[in-house]
Amino acid sequence: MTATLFLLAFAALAGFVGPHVLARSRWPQRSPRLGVAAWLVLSGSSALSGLLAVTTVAVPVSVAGHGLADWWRTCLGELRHYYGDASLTVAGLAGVAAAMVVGRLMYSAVSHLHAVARVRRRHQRSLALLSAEADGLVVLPHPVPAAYCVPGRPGRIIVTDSAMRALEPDQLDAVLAHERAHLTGRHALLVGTAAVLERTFGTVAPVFGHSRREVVALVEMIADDAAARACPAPRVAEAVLNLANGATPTIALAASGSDILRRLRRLATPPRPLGWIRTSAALATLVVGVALPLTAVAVPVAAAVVVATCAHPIHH
Amino acid sequence: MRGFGDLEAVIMDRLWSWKRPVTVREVLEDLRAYRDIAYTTVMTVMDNLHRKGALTREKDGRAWRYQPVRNRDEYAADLLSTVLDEAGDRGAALMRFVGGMRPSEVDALRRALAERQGRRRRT
Repeated sequence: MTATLFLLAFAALAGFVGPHVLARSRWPQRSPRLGVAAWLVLSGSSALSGLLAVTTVAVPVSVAGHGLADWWRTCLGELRHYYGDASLTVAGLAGVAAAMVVGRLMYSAVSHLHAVARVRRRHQRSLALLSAEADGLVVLPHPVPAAYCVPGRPGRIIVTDSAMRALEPDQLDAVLAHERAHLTGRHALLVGTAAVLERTFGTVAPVFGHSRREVVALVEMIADDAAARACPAPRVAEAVLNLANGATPTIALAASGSDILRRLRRLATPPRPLGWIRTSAALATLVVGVALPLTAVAVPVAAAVVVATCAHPIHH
Repeated sequence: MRGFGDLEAVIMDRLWSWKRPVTVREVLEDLRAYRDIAYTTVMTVMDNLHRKGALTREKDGRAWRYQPVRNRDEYAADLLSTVLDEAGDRGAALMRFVGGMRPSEVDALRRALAERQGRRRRT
């Protein structure tokens, strides 16, 4: 019971309060890698503790502990003994709910992976007719200046000929460094994780939508930092503006324009990365964020295991 | 040379530059100038391209004459449309450097940026 309440409180804290605090802090922009980790931990541990809370209703920790010590005796009879018949129904419903949530999460993940793989495979196949290069840079004829990458193995970077004309050589290097950072940093996987969490739990708590949007924005900043090692950061900002000036507007300024403005500001006046003290403090917080819900379950379970192994059932 | 994938691109490149229907024999003779290659290989690859819908063909006497369904630019434009139309790609199947915007929006960003830098310089 205590574990259930604690887990619910933690899930709510991470799901509703956490995103507002984190969205308002400035440090993720200074160390975007840490920022991505923070958002994924916040949304992941909110989902995890919510799930564990439901699970502890289905299988109370004392029973689970007993079961681990002597698992073959944790049968329906034992559960009935613990609950009485009425609350067994509640436990059963909670068990079904927990299983459904896990099922839904797995379904989202698998369908996401399928959809992404299909888009990439089709894209790679069409590219194969345009370029004999199996890896490296592909230049396509097109009036819209654009650059993008197809994550995967091998990943590919594609630039249109009009983008080549819109960029100075050092800016082109920077754009390529940016895309290479996406590929080597497996950024698509990070964005994908956040997207799957949003698709599964997005309607439950605001943290999941926030997390997906921020991870998308932060991986761009990580890649921009790589670009800024190829040429001065303000010139990277210039390159962003040159390639944003496409003939086909595809996004509303309100949605992604503010993200682009954040990128541009950051490039115009690069912030100092976090010092080691703050970095360690943030890392420690992340570890606690993951460990807390797990501990909330593990400690009573471990205690119950000890009780069950040493002295035989004292709870009836 | 890595499998048929490379050869597909090489053959498409030839057909795109010729801009007229050609037979397998003609493609073979052209490729023989650069590499040792069998008639059946070229035929198989061109047949695959036809099956995939990249080439059309018509009978000319006893041989087929092949040519691309779309020219190179159209083909590239079609491919890029999946990238430029970003709606629905929230899971980062493809990752674009920066989204396309209207020139007026880009100008607004440029101004916002310049203003900010101006302010910093004054302070």
